[in-house]
Amino acid sequence: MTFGIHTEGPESLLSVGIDVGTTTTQVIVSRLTVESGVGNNKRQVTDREVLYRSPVFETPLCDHKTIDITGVADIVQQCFNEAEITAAAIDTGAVIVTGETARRSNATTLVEHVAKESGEFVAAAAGASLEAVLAGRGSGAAAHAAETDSTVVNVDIGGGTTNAAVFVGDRVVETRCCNIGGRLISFDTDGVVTAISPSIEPLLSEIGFEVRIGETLTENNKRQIADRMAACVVDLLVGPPYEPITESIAIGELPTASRSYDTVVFSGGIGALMGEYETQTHEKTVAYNDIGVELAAAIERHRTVHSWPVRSFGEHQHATVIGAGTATTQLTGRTQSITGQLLPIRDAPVVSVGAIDSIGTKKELTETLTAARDRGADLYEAMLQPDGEPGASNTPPLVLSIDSIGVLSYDRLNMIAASIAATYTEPTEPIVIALKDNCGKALGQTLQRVLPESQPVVVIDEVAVSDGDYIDIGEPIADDDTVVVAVKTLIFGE
Amino acid sequence: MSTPNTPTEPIDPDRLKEIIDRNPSRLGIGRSGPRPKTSDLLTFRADHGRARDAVWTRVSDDLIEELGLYRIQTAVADKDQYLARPDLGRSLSDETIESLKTDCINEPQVQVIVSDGLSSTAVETNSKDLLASLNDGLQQRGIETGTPIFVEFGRVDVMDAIGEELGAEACVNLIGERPGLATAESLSAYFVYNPKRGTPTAKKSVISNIHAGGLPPVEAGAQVAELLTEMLEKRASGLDLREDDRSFQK
Repeated sequence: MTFGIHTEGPESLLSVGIDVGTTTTQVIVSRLTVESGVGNNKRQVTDREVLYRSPVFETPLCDHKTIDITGVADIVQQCFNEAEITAAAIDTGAVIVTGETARRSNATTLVEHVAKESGEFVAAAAGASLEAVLAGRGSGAAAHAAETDSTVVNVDIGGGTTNAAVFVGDRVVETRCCNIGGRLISFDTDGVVTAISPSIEPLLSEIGFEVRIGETLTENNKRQIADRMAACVVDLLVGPPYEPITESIAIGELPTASRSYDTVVFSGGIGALMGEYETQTHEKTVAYNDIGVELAAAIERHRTVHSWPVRSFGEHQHATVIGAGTATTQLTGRTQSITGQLLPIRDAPVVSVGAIDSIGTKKELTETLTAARDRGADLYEAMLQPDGEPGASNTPPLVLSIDSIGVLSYDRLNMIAASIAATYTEPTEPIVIALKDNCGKALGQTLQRVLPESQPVVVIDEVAVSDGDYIDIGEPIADDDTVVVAVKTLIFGE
Repeated sequence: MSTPNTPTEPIDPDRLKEIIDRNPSRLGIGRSGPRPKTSDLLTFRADHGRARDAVWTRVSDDLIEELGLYRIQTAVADKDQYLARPDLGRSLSDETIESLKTDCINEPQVQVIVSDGLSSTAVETNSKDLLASLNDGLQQRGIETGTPIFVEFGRVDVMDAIGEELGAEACVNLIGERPGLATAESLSAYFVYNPKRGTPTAKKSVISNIHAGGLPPVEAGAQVAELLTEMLEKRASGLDLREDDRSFQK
């Protein structure tokens, strides 16, 4: 605790999670409790309570390539009405576009639209790895790994993708993702194939199936396909070595070392169906109109899965949306420095300067910082609009992230501030610095002394961000100095 | 603290390292029969020695001069009496009061005090960076500071007496903390608005754990400046400063 001799009471943030997946769209509203940690001055999220949980909606599509953005926005609005909240009351949260939806042509427009409509500080995010991690946090797998200090894999199987995240203790060590999901083949009520995702075609051709739209699949055919899909999921989790088919449908790099798991958790729509397998009926298969129920059954009967310590912590279908709504928010140390009314900042791209602890002179450091800025300008060329007016409200500032400052002396901070000033020569250009060390206020104060008054500066500390991350920085919560930082990873359609 | 031994043949060396790295305590140091290993015993005694030194040594005159501090002493005569009589560590003699009033700036907005407290080492290690950063912060906000004072044999509440005599609006006392075996270098900043002798602790604020391994002194300086600014704005310190927040619910 920094200020005051007594312990400060908790504060709360209203957080929203919106998951637009291949098959389903869900919304949750939760309350995050923020308190000072014991023995340090860092504010932490200490409790997460889900206040509202939407029904599972079918993701509205205009056609198989385009998401119905208005339809999604209507769902979100309907949920807000039911939860009795307004966009203005929302402090933080995330919209996550997952599975096949992330590959649709208008996915970027969708997240931006929904994020903007859903309150000031809702982060937009997509990408299989991030989804895997969020699902693991939402399902309870991450908490179980941390509590028992064991290795837990959360396997989130949705309509389009399977995203597994491996948690060891309180760390995420790897993700394993591939294109297996319950909505890759859809039927009508008579069992006639109405849609096949191109991502399932390698698997179908491997087992010698040529499924065409308009054909009817026999129960036996469905079973065979589902068994092959289940085998791929198992292979994804136990490899290497991986079967060629697994490699061909993998999303991103697959890990190069195999793992054994103390606990296996299944989540997502298929995870939920697996729990209900005993009561499965033909009607249900038809109700979903896809291969999902077959896939869930196939995974359940797979011999390897039988040998696994499978557990459930009560969250399946909603795992990702809960993760998105409760686990995407980071808080800074309460020691940042802010001038020039820059906040809130949205979608600011991060470029990593790296550790500067071995850099001793202003000249050298200015060169390093300038090189990082140039690299950032290249990296985010389209976004930063180089010929746009600097500081224009629609152009997010580039965030320089500095890992380790080295010896935190007064003289050294002066040198660093002077180098930053020398790097930003345009007097109205906003400067945004993210530090891993706890010296945000000192650096901010020093920068204010050396920079012209017109220059807006934001220094946040005790946050770890790097290349490829985008951050939103909210306004300080209460009259506390902590700001909400949402770190986003935007990766579309790998 | 000196680096302790790592145990021989741990079952899971990686996990053990994680646990040890997370905590400044002497964890997982192993043993020899029922006793600690010689090197650990020596480390422990060395750390204890350092803690004792922090209490028993004096802040060097060179440092006081370098920092441009005005030197005074409480009513305490020596270290033995300092430890035995906390009350005297808060009191000033009539002569000291007289010279304070003559030599120092009267009625400043902020009176900065540095006290040896229970760790001269803490003052030696941290005050230079802290004061530099604090002075910048106050200057940039246009806050008038008094003559910075060094108090030998000072307790936290000596700031009440000094502030009252000089008519300061607010005081900050940068004081060496009781040393422990993990660090002997920890400094704290105590604050009081409208200092008067006998002001209860509830009316005081603190920023603690200032040292290289805790809150870095240069960062602490900036935070101290900010808290002083807030105190002057709200004309309060301690619980009074935070009263409004407790009913806060968004």
